Amino acid sequence: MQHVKRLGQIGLAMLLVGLISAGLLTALPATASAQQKTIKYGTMHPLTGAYAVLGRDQMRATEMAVEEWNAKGGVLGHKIIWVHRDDELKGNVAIRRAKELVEEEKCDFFGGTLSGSISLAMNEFACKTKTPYVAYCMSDMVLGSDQCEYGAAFMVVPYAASLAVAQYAFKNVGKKWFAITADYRWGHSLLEGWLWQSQQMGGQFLGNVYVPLGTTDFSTYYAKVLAAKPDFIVMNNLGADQTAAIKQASELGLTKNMKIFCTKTAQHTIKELGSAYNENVIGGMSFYYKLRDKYPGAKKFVDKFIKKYGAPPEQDGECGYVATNILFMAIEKAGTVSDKKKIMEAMQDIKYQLTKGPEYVRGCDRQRVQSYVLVKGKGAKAKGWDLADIVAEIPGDSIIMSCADNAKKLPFINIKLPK
Amino acid sequence: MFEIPWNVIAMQFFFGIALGCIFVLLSSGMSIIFGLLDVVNFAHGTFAMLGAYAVFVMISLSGSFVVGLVSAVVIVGIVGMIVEFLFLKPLYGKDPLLPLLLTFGLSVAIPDLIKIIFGLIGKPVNYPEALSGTLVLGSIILPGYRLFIILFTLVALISLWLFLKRSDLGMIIRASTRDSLMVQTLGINVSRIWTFGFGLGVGLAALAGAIAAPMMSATPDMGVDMTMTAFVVTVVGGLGSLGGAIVGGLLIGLVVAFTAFVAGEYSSVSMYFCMALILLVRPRGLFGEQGRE
Amino acid sequence: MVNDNTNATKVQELHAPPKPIVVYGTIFVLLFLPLVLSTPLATEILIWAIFGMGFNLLLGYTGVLSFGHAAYFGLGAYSSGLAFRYLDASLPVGIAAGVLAPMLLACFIGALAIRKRGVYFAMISLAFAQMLYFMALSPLKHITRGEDGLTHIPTMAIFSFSLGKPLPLYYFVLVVTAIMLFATWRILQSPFGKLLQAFRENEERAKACGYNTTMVKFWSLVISAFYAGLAGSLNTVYLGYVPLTTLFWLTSGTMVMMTILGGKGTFLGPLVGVGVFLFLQNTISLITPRWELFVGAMFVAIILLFPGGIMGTLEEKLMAYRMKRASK
Repeated sequence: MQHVKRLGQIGLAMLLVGLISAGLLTALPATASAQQKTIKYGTMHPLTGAYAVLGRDQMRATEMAVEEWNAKGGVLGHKIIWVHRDDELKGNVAIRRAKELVEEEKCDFFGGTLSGSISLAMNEFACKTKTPYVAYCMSDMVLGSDQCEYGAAFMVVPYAASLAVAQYAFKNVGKKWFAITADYRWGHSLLEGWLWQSQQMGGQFLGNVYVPLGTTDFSTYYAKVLAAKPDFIVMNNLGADQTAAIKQASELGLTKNMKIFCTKTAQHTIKELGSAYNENVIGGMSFYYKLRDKYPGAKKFVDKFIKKYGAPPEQDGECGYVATNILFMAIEKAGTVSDKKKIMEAMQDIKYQLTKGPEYVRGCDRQRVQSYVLVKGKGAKAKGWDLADIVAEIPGDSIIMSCADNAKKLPFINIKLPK
Repeated sequence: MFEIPWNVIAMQFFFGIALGCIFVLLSSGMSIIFGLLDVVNFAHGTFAMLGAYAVFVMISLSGSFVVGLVSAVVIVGIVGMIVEFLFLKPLYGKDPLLPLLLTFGLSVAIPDLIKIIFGLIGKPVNYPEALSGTLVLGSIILPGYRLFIILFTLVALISLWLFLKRSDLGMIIRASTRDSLMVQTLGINVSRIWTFGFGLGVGLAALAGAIAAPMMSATPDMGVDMTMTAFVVTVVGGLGSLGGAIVGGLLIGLVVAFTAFVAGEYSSVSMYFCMALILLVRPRGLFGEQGRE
Repeated sequence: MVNDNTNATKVQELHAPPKPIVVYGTIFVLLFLPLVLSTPLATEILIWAIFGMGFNLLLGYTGVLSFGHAAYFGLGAYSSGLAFRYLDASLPVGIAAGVLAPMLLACFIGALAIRKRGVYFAMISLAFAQMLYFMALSPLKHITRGEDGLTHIPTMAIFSFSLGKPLPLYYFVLVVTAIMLFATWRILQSPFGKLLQAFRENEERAKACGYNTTMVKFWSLVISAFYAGLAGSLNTVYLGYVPLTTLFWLTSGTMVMMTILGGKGTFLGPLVGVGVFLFLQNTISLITPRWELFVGAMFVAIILLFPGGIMGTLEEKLMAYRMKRASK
């Protein structure tokens, strides 16, 4: 018995030593090769936590973009060194990682994150340190007082998603709607978008329930929805919340005789839901891999991604790919790798066509003006990654407010959210 | 103008009971483990998560929902017994906090293991077509699967009760809960009873996870919330009391359901308020024995 | 009988407060930490170490496990964050707010639950912490900003000396750490400190000697909340931001793991535990995103094989070595 214990102790000690030395070894090569001229790009993704799937796709797509540029000989003759970190979807960890990337690793540019709230903190950090930051997520940072000239956002701004989905819903399905909204800023932004679009298109708002994040039982909210008898239900939530909400809606028979609109959904949510995500559930995405049938750029990107990683990219992956490309295109356009201000200026009004139709980054607030895709589930007919079909692609210019409005958060600041 | 919507309230009551049933299964398992082994199982929700994955695997292998449920309980029960034998046995008689800490360690490690095996994306679990209908009583709509949950929990609890009251093994378990030393003196191997008891408690957790899985899919991180709920229910009902677990579970289910109806934002915090209130009014919990807390 | 006696002296020596050289030596070593580690990591280690010292006082020296210490840490972080953001409070005022609020909370939770058995108290404290978390998440989001966390907290300055840059901030936190390290040392030497340890070793006997165990546990909890609140408000100063995760249960769980890893009931345990934990997490997460598996498994192994943690095991080995030499 004593021997066994001793053996275990020695084993554990060896394990510890091994782990530490492995960690030190992996840290070494990063500093070794410094002969060629380089620029350094650091990104953060939630590789642990509830959205690890999306974080992984962001990371993979960034890797792919960096490899492509390096294969072309880098940016302005500079090789791109890319480092990435796990931000764990936690604000404090993300800030520590950002500080490490910028202050210790001396990254010239940084990007990533999946949470809008973390992106706000990152944006603030970018403004303080004057280091360009490209956000991969839906973020309000381009609105109101939050914006500064060092932050750029490449996923659609939250309200734009609502406008896109709402346009389709009011035109094609009906006027009476009821909303289920995750109780945090992102959810509220989506609801504001819906309320505004509803006013424009004569919708009839029947009610809303705010649901705390991480709720697993939605059935207790549906009694209210059933009593209101809407034409369709709007889901302003994501991830596990959305999975539980739709599962339980289907359990109540709501997906049989009512439409459900998810302002934002994700490929893996549809996969997790299986047959519950049927043709009556319509979700919004900034990118769905079936766009490859429409655009050659999408086909190139998606096929390469599937070949490399075995599964089609999520919208978050596509966003990471485009964001990384725009950053390097801006550097090329600016003709400098060191003048950060000039690079950020070059990013404004940059025009390109990568994974969708022709797009541009808007000059005034550095956000990517892009289309929004609506997909319809296939329910029990889904097979492998053939999960949904595209029903509409709403053009980017129709769902974005003018720069002057955005700066003042108009018109949404005048929308009164229900209690 | 402000007519009270009775049909909505009736549905809310029904949903609350169905939700409560899952809490009952969870926390009765926790109570058995605590009563018998004096161990607070921090990994209780993690075992429920394993139950959800087990039911996913077994349904895809056997094609039958009921077979899936039963085998999930058995599989996770056996896993629980192995865990007790390997990890918890060495800690008995030492600091009573150590088993709590150890199960906490498991609750950190096991979800990552599941992520490696099953991937990061959760798995859909479907209930049989027969239960997918809804029962419509006037303007009240009751989903079939929730009715099934309530009936199934009832059956499970009655069999548990019969097992504990009528069978020899059940009697030994009850006796060991009261005084394990005395049982040991009578020539019964209490150590094995403990292992079995842990398996039983964890099996109930797995049942809760497996039954809940069709309503929210099996995901690696679903366990934590379940552990927290089990804690709250156990504190409300009284630590180590089976009756307390049942009443506490149903009570918390109803509290959550009606808070969601009245003030949605407070739904996740309401159970904790309920617990604080119980602690103020009746510190040992509804059914707790004096001195055990 | 003889055996019992040596055991008693062993226990006594094992948990004796360290010599002054250990305290000063540690502070001296910490002066150079930013040379070895990245400055943000080093700062975070110090902040967690303060948190850990208080936690260790409660778990290691009093024997009470609070599984909801995030409540005090988070409340401290939010209190000073709110004071900085909405009231334009100066640094000392903000920190004072961040220390007082958790202490009041500790008084409340302590009055309600400290009489309970160990495991029961652990569950209740966890549930209270969750209550605070969910309150900040949804119902109080107009003040706390919910999931977004509290942003736009101005950069702090001390005597018009800005703490915006990493190094000045590190040395500011180090000064506070040094003070707290010193304070912990004094507390352990004080009659109160001796009493804490007497309870942990044998609560019944201490009770029989006429001491009020409940009061001692209660004050230990309140003092511990002071440390946690201080760490929380330093965290706010350091990040310029209060993330909601400061209140999340995993913050408590991480603290528990760090303290056990370093060695509960040892003077340097929390500091070592925090350092090793964060360092391991940082390095393993560079290799694989599944670092929680390693950390969790390591924690299980420590509970089973070395319940004394790193410092406890080292001290034990040292003691055994000394005894062996003495008996020769």
